[in-house]
Amino acid sequence: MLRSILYWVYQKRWLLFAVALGAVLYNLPRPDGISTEGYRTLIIAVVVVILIISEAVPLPGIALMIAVLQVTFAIAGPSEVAQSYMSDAVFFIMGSLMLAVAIVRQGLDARLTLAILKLTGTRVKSIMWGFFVISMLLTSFIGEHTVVAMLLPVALTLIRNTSEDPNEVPGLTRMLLFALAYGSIIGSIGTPSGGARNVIMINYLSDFGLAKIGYLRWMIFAYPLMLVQIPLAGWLLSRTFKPERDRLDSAVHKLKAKVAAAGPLTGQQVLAIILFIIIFLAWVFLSDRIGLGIVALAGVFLYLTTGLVQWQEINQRTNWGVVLLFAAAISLGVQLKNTGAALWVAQQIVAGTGGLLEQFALAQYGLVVVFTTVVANIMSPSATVAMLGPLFMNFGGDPVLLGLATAVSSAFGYLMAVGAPAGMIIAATGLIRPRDFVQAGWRITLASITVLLLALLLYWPHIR
Amino acid sequence: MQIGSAVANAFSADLSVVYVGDRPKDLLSGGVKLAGNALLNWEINHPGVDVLRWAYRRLQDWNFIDPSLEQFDPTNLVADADRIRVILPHVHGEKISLIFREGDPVDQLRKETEDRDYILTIVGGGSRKRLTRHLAQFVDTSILFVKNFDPDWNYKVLLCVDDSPATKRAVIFGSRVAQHFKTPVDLLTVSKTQRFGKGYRGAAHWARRYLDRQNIACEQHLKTGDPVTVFTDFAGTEHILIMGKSKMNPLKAFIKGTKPAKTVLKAHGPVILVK
Repeated sequence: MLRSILYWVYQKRWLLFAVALGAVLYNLPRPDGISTEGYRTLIIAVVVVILIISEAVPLPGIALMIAVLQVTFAIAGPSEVAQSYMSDAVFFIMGSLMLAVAIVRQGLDARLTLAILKLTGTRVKSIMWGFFVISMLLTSFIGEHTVVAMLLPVALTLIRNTSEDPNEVPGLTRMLLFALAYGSIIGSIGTPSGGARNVIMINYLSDFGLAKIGYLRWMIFAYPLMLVQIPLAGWLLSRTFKPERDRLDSAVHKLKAKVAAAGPLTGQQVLAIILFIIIFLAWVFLSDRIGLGIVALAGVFLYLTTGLVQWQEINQRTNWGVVLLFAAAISLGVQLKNTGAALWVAQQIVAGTGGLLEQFALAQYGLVVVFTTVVANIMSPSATVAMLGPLFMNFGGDPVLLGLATAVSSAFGYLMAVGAPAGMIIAATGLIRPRDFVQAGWRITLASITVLLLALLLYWPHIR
Repeated sequence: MQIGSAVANAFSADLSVVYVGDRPKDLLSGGVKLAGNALLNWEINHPGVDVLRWAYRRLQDWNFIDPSLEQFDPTNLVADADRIRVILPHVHGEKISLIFREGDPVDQLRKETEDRDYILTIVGGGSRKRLTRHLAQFVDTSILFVKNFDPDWNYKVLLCVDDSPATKRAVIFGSRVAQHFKTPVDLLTVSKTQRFGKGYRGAAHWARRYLDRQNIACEQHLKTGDPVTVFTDFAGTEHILIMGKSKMNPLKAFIKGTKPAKTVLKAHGPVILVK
């Protein structure tokens, strides 16, 4: 019995630590300048961050805890909390996860393969560029994990056609898998539909009365950054890993033969593509009026009613716990703003730098971008934006630019597998080691940070 | 794997090969599952399934599975609540299970051995301090830590005997191993002081008599010093070291570590901790 208890304590050590820390903070005197509700919201945020990173409690449990604590700590009433759990951003997260299942279901990966190989030929560097650019462009519209899920089998088949044991061609393996992952990561900043974090920030800016940023407006801010990073990041990646072969003639030939057997586009696949084009156009032209999330849900509705996907499949393959957690994180982010907690923390940080952040825009932007990058590599991009967004928008500079910087820099999850869905997916193949991420990612991280800072100083203020 | 299949043969026991892979973070697991399903359409298996396929082939190489029988079929997977099993038809299914789990190794092995009648858990390594201590403390079966195992070497058995309750079971277990592999046994009792108490002498005497009754050649040794150091120095790389699991208070064991766990960490060869 004692052994079982001891084991439970060991398994849940981070939960116990988070609860103990929360209890200690709760009983400390409230700091000056922050309301009781604000201080309690901060305590919840600290506990939640520990639990998300440590996974001491299942994600849905954390989401439920956030609701319970908001009410029991008298931060907000039950109806207010319930309302804050549902927003267009949450609809978008839900819709995009369901759309991912629906799109991957259509088997369009074979078509994509043929398109890529037609463009790239059989030279390894060309294939790497092909994966890099195609995954970037596609992700900017349909989201990271959808694209990586579709293209990963292609990359792995090419690798296995080259060598039965991928560990015999480690340079080639890493080059192709990181091209896929990093292309997707970079592409995810391009449009709001590229990543849930983008929609979370758009909603914050709108709900906080700061700005209404539509689909096209976001693209004006972010797409050039994405395009600038294509040659830069691609070149850095090609210098990092040395493939064991220069050409993959036989591997490409086998792959082409395999996908050619799938035959021409079916009627269902054509319909799936048409539906996605409709969804995309609705995002561009209608989202200002009806919201990105509603468009996403409408898209899922269309895929369901046309029979392109079954509800059972969507239900089984959608991670509903993640939807619940992001709803809770957004709710917490809103309370951080409403209670003044975000403003208080921002003021403490600004005061702590001795006026440096107030005097130098570069210092302000640099802190936001670097801190967000670090946290996103540990926690997750969307949770990072949900919790840090309200904080950084109160740093004293232009809150819109600071918010956009937070959203874009949360995508720089190059350094760890947990930094981005694409990273986690390629890590799960068992062919990528943690140190490969650092080896591949540190240069691209620096490059991305530099590009973003340049945009913040030289480009965004002029289109603001 | 090799020593595991040999031990299973020795005890005419069923064998389960369990691979514990890394579990993706919950926040990102949806994308991983989506990609995994897409990979299956291209007949690319989860890396865990490839490990089980490798294990199956090795078991055939060592004749634990008849090499003439059917090949590993990755489509014969059954997903239980928290694990995936490969169904091996006919004779295989009763004797051999290939199981894939994801998560913390201690947690997953604990779950695997809970409520299932495993007698012995065989793990590689035994050099990572925290993992070894937690496996020894929290997995509720006997455990064989395979360290520096040489399949061509003719190991002797070293039985570490003291007055702890698990010693008798360790002696019985060790005698079966020695009988099957036809290897002599060294009985070793270590005292920290110059005196051997009644309990130690009684246990050593009992063990000697038991092995004599089993007609197992054995040699008795009484030594003084730090037990962990003496055990491991005596065992060297020529012995499989067998001792009982600790009955120390669990909290003390968790904080300080136990003699058996420290022995595993310091040993240069395989160690069996008998529950």
